[in-house]
Amino acid sequence: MASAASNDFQRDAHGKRVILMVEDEVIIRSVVAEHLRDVNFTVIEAANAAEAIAVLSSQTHVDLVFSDITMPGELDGVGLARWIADRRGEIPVLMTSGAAVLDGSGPISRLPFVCKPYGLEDIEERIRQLLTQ
Amino acid sequence: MTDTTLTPPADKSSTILVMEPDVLVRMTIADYLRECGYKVVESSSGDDVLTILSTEIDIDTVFSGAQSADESSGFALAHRIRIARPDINVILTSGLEHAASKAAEVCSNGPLTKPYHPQELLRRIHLLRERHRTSKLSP
Repeated sequence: MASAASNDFQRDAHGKRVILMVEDEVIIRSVVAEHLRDVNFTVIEAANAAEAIAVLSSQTHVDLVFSDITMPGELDGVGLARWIADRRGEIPVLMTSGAAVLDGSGPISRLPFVCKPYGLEDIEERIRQLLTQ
Repeated sequence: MTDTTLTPPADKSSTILVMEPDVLVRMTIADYLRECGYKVVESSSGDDVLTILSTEIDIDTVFSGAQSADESSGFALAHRIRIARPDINVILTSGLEHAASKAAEVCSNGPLTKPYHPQELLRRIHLLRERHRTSKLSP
């Protein structure tokens, strides 16, 4: 399995935690990513699960994945979370959706979840909590 | 390689919208421009660019690859922007080396000094792509 330690350059060269934000709605993604950068995170933006997998399989250092559930493409956010659990299980995942709950059973249904619409400070706080666990 | 730059590089302290369908290229170029001191907004498609330009997000320059994720042409996108928003600079790039060279040019006009040589930008992109291509993690 790939390891962040094998990187010869790190995205958090400035000591920042790295968030991979997976969201197909460009306005939401841009606004949230900008806020997270303003509060000292490094943010990698992915427009869908395939882009997120490309980032993760390139061994780019990622501390946490924050993903929407409903996205176009072969994999939605739940599929992405399963992929991460199978291959990069050390990375915490925070899911979001306009739906009130995370459907399904098993480990995916127990993932941290935040309902849309969310406040910028709320999501920042939730991410900080998950990174300190 | 054809130089497809349509307008001069960005001025200092401006916001650049990077449109590039390959996430590994997009994030590397966006990071480079941020390290030069610019605010950068990222887009994978021409439709997303037009969506962003329809909002109150203040964009000074669009830095676009020749193709987008929705297979629209960067040339067509540049034309639409020049008609609808002539106040916005459009930098159209063709190929990785051209994109790296143009990013370095934009960086030269940026608020901060270049964080590293454009050849390093290319090296990073090639390394990420190679890791992705050979990764045992890929589906």
